[in-house]
Amino acid sequence: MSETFTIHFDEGKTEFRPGETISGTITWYTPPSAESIVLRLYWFTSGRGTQDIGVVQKRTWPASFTGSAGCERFAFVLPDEPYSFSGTYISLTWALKIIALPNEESFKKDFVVSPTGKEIGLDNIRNAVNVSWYQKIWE
Amino acid sequence: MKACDNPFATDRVERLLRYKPDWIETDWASIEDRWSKLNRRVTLTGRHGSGKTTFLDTWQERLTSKHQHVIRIFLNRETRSLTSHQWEALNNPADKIILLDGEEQLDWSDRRKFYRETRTAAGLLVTRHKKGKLPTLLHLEPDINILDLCVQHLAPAHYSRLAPYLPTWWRQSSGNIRQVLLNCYDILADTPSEP
Repeated sequence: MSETFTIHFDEGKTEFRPGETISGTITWYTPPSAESIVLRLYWFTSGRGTQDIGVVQKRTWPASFTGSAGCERFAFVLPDEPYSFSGTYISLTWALKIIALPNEESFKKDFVVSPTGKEIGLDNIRNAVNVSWYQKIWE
Repeated sequence: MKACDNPFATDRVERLLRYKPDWIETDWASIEDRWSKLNRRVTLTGRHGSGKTTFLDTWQERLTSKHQHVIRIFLNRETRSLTSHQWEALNNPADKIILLDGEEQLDWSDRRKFYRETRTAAGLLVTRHKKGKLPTLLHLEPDINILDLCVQHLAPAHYSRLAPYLPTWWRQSSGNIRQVLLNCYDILADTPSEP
């Protein structure tokens, strides 16, 4: 947990369906040099290859509005895709990140977006495909 | 192991690995002194995977922390020329420091144009495998001890398991640190995730 920022999702929820609204509260205590606070809704990949990042929405609070400490509500409607997934070579993770500009001190909190509410495991899909292929051959 | 948990995931390596001048028995003050003496127009040389890009990442952070305006351009075999947006960014370069990673990818005419456009830049550092048009700031030589330090830093919990493979991978990749870190990724990718 960052000493400067916190992100709290309503009802402590961290698993969401596509199209659902993610809402909660952010709090911050920033140095006087901060000019603005940005809250970014985005997804990113990690793994063996080059990282991809997609910023979906963001909100900005100017420092004159925020002061050095503050607390704000947020709510974003999640898009239909991409889903959160993970395999051995690539994962896609959704996150909310608070950034203090210009020094870019930040804090992020991950969450899951998928039709089941659970991260999709690519290895499970691969195993399922293999099982159905073997079943076809066997039948 | 899930990709997002792999300590050798590319994004994590880029985030955590910082170039340390003591790896090549120097320090930042000496490097910056040489940079100034060479009128801030230099080449960084070294083979594939010798740490040039990692050096540039760290160098860029140092420059931006001193409020320098840095333009970073990365070229490779797939992207061998600057985009129109990048050419545009080189306009009026007097207050900009330009870092070009992979200068030898440019063809003859683009290279000429690049040096012409950047001749008034506040600073210019290009990376190449071999000596180029500009004087050499540093030559990075692959060193297995640096690889060892990187693996310890990135994955201390897995180091004892990976260490026996490192000399072989080092030989097989001709001293390409980046390639060996990907080999480490592959080994851990096949490790079951902890519950």
